[in-house]
Amino acid sequence: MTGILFDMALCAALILTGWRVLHSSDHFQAVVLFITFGLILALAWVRLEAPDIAIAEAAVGASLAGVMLLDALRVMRSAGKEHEQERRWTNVARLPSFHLFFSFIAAVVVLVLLICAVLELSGRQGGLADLVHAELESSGTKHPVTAVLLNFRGYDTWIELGVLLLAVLGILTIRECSDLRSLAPPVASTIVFETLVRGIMPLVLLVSGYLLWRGGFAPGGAFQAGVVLGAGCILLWMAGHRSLAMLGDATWRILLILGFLAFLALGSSSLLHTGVFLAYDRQYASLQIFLLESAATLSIGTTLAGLVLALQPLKKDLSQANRDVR
Amino acid sequence: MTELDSFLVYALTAVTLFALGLHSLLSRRHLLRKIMGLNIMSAGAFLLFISVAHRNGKEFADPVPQAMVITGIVVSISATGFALALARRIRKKTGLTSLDYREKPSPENHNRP
Amino acid sequence: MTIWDIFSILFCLAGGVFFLAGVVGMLRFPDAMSRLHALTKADNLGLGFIVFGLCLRSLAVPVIIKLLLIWLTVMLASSTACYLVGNYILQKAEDRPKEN
Repeated sequence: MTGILFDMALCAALILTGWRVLHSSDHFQAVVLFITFGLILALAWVRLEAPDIAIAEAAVGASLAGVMLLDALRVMRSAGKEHEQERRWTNVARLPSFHLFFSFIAAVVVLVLLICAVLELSGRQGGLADLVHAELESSGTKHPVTAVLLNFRGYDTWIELGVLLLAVLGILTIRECSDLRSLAPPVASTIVFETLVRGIMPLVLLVSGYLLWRGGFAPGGAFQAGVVLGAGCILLWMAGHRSLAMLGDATWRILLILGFLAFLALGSSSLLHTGVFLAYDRQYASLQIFLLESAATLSIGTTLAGLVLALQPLKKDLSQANRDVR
Repeated sequence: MTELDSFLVYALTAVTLFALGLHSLLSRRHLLRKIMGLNIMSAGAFLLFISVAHRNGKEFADPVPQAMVITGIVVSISATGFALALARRIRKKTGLTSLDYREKPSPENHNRP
Repeated sequence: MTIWDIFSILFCLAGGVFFLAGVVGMLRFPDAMSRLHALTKADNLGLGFIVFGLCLRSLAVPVIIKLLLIWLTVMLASSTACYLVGNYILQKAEDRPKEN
């Protein structure tokens, strides 16, 4: 009984925070509320007995998304240089009211349809939990979620690493730079922050490795480990440490594609041997999964760090700005 | 019975979040709000998925939807990163913070929701 | 219910009270500095009480080490974040008269 009350309070908090994120008057407030929303959502995942997702959500939804949004907000708020071409602007403060009306109606229709679907769904049973538990013995890992991610649905994970790679390539294309060395080096931070990061980096690596190792038999795994690693890289950059800025071109590229490449290599070797893409040899399954997970962790960490760092100021922009000042 | 109840609570929250996100995606003008609306929509979709998984699982939510949602979270953060990069590019090239070309690119507009 | 469980519940409740005090302080205090004060002090103490309560509950060495590490990390991070925010406030306050 207390459980369901807690669930209801949590859901009310989720809806209220979601509403305030989208409709508060100040953008900064909205971003902070978005981070809060991620944390409350992580709590909901724990209540729904999905601790793997809770770890990923707390790391992604609360920290990485927050950093990205705050950084974007800073850039989008700054006055910057006005566009040269002065067109005949008509200053429209608000959308036409028929547009607001239409979007409201659309949302209400979708909501009603979805509620009908949920009520219909509540009578059904099913799911794949039994199947996963029956096949768990042969998968090479003891944790069902890792077994699904790396073995039963390894194909999905492979394509997903491809999507991550595409996202970071897209950002690099938009920025017209190829690696971290074309970015302006990080600005030195205060000594307190630098000391904290210096002390906390070994702990970040330890936690990342621990999550990776733990994924073999309990909640944890490559995604969570990769996210922690990526967040550590971003901290390192923000503290003004130069090691990432000096990362060589080849190393950066290899780290980015390592996960995708590892899946491709193992998959095609199994295609040659057994005729099935990404089929594991039962004997070596746990070793193969471990190798894939390690490669995926490095790639996910680099990619997520790249998503944030590739948006930092470029060297050529800074020199341009200096020339403008002179 | 209690499990069914918690399923209903979470599933209805999920669809509400989805509709909220959809509404703001259609009606808000600032690109950041649109991106956040998209993220809240995806949170709603994930929540519905896992509330079903929770009902179908035994001592642990059904692992297949869990794996898909973990994949989904990482994909949605990378999509968010790409969308933010595009939004920043739009801001830099045109001075606008929305897709409405009639908006005047003046600083006081950038703080408007 | 053993005597350990009762102590653990008491400590967790005490932690909750400190968190509540911190939240009230953050909402009610007038300026950013005093809000920071409420946040870092009350929350660190509250988290400490909860960690201690959970340690009493598990009584296993690996779990206790992990809990203490979490507490230590949160304290380090929150004091650094507090320093950074405070620094920012001071800098803004210094910059303001120059503008006028």
